[in-house]
Amino acid sequence: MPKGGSPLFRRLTGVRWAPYLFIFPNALLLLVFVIYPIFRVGLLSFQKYSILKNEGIWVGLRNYEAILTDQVFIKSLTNTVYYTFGRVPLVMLAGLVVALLLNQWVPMRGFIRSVYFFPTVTSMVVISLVFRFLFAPDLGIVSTTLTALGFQNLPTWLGDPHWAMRIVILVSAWKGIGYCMVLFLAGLQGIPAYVYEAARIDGASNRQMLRLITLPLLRPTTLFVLIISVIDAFKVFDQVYVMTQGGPGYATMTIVQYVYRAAFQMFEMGQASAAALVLFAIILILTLLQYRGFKVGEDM
Amino acid sequence: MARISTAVRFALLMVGLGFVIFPFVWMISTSLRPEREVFALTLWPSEIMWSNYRDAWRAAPFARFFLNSFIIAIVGTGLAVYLNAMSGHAFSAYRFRFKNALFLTFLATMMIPGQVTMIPVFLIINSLGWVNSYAGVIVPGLASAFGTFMLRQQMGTLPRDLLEAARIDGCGELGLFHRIVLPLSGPVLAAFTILMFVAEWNAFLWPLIVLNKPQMFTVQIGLQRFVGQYDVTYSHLMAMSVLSLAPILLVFLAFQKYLVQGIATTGIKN
Repeated sequence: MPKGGSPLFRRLTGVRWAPYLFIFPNALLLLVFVIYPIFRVGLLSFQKYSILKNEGIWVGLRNYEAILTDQVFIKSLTNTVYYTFGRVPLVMLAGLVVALLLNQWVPMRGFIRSVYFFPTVTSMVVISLVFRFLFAPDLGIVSTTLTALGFQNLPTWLGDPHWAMRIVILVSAWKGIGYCMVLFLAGLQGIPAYVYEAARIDGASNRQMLRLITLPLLRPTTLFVLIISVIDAFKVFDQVYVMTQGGPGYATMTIVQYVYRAAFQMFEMGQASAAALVLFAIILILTLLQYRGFKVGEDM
Repeated sequence: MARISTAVRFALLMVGLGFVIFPFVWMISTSLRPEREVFALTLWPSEIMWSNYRDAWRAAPFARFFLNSFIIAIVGTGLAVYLNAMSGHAFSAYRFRFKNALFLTFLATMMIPGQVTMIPVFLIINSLGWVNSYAGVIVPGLASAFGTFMLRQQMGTLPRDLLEAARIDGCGELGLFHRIVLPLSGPVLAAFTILMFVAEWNAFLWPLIVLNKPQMFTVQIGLQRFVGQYDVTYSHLMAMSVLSLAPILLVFLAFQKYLVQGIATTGIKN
């Protein structure tokens, strides 16, 4: 290959400098858009920041004081925890059951797997809009069907503080089943067939094999799916924003929704940053748990 | 035992399948209904209203929304694949000073979610004058430690001798990357490309923050705003929702293998 360009160019693209050249754009982007911002958000959380003047005034811990005494923030924390405890077991159980059912041959297996997986790649905005429509008060198909079945005094679903979060959970779980299924299927494929053969020769029943072989050997996968799902759940935003905007009242206000509202609707950048850091702390702890979990998982 | 349970398993899977498919069926059905039957308890409307699609398309600047989404998803995906392939290649094919430190730093950024840093990133975008621009949506998400990592893993399996042979034949380092490493990394590049495209097409929170002029809206933002700002019916909304899923459905049908592979091997989406 003919070598062109200036001596500097040739030197930079030589074997000694090439790796730096290849890494440079990404390193710069990560520095500007991830690493610097994580320090900046920490700084902002101690400031009162004016976007117009582009300056921050040091206010110490006042932002943290403000959010920790803000009922809405506390509500957003408990709501997010409630959402996580609702969504994660639901989606994992459903994903595991589907994976177990699909792990052996059934007619149209590939097709069935594809259909279960499809919601994973669809947009949360569209899915939220559709479910909002399905759960429309009185007129939506859920209400009309239940009415036809003889139920009366139905709630207004997303308009009802007791029901709104449950529906958000349901929609999120519905959309996430395929994702869990794929991970569980990959885990199930990793269990060698001879283990089952041996158990069968020893006269183990189906139920025994599930309880004594499949589930224990699937533990690393289960742990992985659990942590990923929990981290994901703490970042919930799209479905809440589209379906309820955190309402009715603050019934579905979640942490990210709170951060978004504080930063971009109320322009309280400092308080929003403090809330974002609380989220970061939670996610960091979960991520570290994940790494620990993996070490434990590998020993098994 | 297997024979009895196959039928039962199939039946159970079909019941579940019904729940998975139903919202999509209902969405398509609603998109084709006359206004007065939007809430009717039937799958088949009395007449099929293809005109809903045309009317909805005109009720808001959807042509522009789709154009914006395509530009952002295609340019964003293309750049991200190229940049992350470059850094993946660097980490896989070279030894250099600070390699480990750099790699660990890359990995560490995976622990920092965009939701936590979105405020300062917005301030940066704002001071660059990138609010309401494609660049503002695309650039902050380009570098992906996850992508670098995923591509590096695969590129590491290319035989060393191949690279050495090319060098001996006089191939420069750029040529090595473009003519040997990239063409031989087809499947993993495909997997990452698809994951990126889906993520970019479906992105909501970040575009919501950066874009506030209707002519810059992506489809997702447009759909969400569609509910409040324009005078629209549910059938129009569903029609545009169906249309917005079409590119994803096509990608899904064509490249499903890579998608599932990408998720199953890395466990990470978005």
